[in-house]
Amino acid sequence: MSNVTIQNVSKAFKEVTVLDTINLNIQDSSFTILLGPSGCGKSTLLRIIAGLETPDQGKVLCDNKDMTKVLPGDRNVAMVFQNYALYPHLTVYQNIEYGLKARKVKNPERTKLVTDAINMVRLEDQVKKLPAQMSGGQRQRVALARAIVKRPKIFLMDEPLSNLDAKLRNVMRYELTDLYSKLEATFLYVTHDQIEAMSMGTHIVIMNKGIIQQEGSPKAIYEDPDNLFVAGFIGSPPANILSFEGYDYSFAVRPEHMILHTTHEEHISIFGDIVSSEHLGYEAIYNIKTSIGNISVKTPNLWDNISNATVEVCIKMNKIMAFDHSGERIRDPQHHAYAISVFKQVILDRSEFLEGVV
Amino acid sequence: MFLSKFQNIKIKDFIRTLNPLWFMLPALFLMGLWTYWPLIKTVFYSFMEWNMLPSSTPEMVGFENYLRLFDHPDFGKALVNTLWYIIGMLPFAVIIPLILAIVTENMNTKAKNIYRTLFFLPMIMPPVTVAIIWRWLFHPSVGVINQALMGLGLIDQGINFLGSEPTALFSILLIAGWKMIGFSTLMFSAALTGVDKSYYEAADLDRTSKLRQTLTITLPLISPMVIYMIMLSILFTAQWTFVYINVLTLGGPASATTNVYYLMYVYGIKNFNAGMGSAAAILFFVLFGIIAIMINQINKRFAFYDN
Repeated sequence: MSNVTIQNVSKAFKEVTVLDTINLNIQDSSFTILLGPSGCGKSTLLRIIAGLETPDQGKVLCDNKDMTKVLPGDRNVAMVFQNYALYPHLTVYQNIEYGLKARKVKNPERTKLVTDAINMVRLEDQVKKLPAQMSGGQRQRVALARAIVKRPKIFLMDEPLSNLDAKLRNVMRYELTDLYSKLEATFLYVTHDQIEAMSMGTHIVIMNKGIIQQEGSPKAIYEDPDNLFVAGFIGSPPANILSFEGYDYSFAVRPEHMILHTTHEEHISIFGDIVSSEHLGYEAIYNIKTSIGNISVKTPNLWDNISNATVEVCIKMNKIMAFDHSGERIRDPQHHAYAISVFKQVILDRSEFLEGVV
Repeated sequence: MFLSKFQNIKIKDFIRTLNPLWFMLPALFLMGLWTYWPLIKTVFYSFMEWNMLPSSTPEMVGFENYLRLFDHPDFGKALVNTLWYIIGMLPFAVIIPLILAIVTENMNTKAKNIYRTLFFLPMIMPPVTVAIIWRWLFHPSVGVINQALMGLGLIDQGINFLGSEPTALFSILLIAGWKMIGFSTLMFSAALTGVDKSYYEAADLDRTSKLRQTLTITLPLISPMVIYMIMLSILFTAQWTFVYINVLTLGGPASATTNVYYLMYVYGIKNFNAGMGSAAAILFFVLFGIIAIMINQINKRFAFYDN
């Protein structure tokens, strides 16, 4: 239980700026996700908080105490590494015990802490194994137990699930959420997988090119992106980004906010040809070629054999997001209304099939 | 008819099992020519008396050579000296390089490269040149070492390092060891490079001291290399010291610096006694073979291999 404040932290590796004046407050007992594409600086930020890297400038505060120069071992944080970093020559039990021994925790107490941690990740029958004799999921649990046993205030996790197969990842997501609710600690979790971010995080920080793009609840990040990067990053597939040469505005529409109709209704609609379709079960993602570019549409699966068919794509007018020429979201209602009128005009100009808005 | 067909299949199968041998043939031929044939010849000559002159013929003498070897006054001395060389070489081949490799491992790339190049330089110098340079350094009256010691007032007159009883062996050891440090440091550095850095980060987060990290993480993870270097050192010290004995002391004074390798050379090459030389060679072959097998067993039990 601890909150972390990052103040003006910058970091460069040989003239390449990895973090550019980061300011961030990680709430006490939150499950905060640092989300972004690879190379966005999220792992470096995590390592700075752990004390494994020193920032070029700026401060790391923990409960309002300056931790910037404190050694990693004295920060009361535990870290789970992407490759687990389990000591390969030590058994599961010895791996979990290692940190306590270094801290000279005496034996009845030490055994109890280790046993508790092992029980928590359900590895009771594996304690005598070496890491090499275990599966990826089991190794992941050992790494978690090694963090848990220290009873830290902050858990730092660096893409801990990325080495697991898809099925195991689903299981571990549940287990991590479960652990989070049991441990009452602050979790800071780095990932590039938005499903992990959306399903586990209470708070998501989206980073790109060393800058925080947006932070907020998973709902806010998904429904109300601040800029084109976030709109084009979040979602599977992400929002359609529509920008037109000669105009200052860009627009984004989520695939699920478009409906395919064979007859028109209260939407702005545009005709297009289905280029490809991806059936997901109940839903399907259609890639549709239109006069304003290729867009993907997520909709209840039509199942019929409609490939290459001409369809009408109806875009919900109130779901269109407008951004200015610097890529920032237009918040001003009047400006927004104007931008939308531009959008309509473009579609009118481009589409001879346009049915217009009712 | 049935039987002949059956036999045919058997012969075909047999020829097929021989197939891999054809690919190995060039290597087998060279190994046979340069390793196994000489080995067999050595065993053969160890039971012969022969002065290596083309005009004379080897004469069967049974175990005579071996018995004479055990009675020879230099033989015991050479065995004891070899043991001292082996013990004395371990700090140079294992302990000092291990410390140097670990200390330089965490330096920045530039400093690391400069240091490791310096350590490695003696290794690439020709042994005979090295021997001659050290002879100058060790010179009883004008050598730099004696000059320095006298200058500091530690001694009144020059020490005859290579000519007196305990110092000669130590001097040979120092030269051979000095030359080995670079090689071992390089080997340990290579092993250290293979250790995943995240183990140390995990240990840092566990508030583990650098010394404790070295003892509980580094050493176990490079144990195969440590044991390998110990084995190399034990088995080859006699060879590594040979050049310096041959150039600087010729085994003297009074057999104080001779070792089994040099003894073999004296019997076989200097005295033209093929029988004695071969008998000594076979004895040491068996002796070092046993040591090698023992160390291999130790290796299997104690070394940890990270995959």
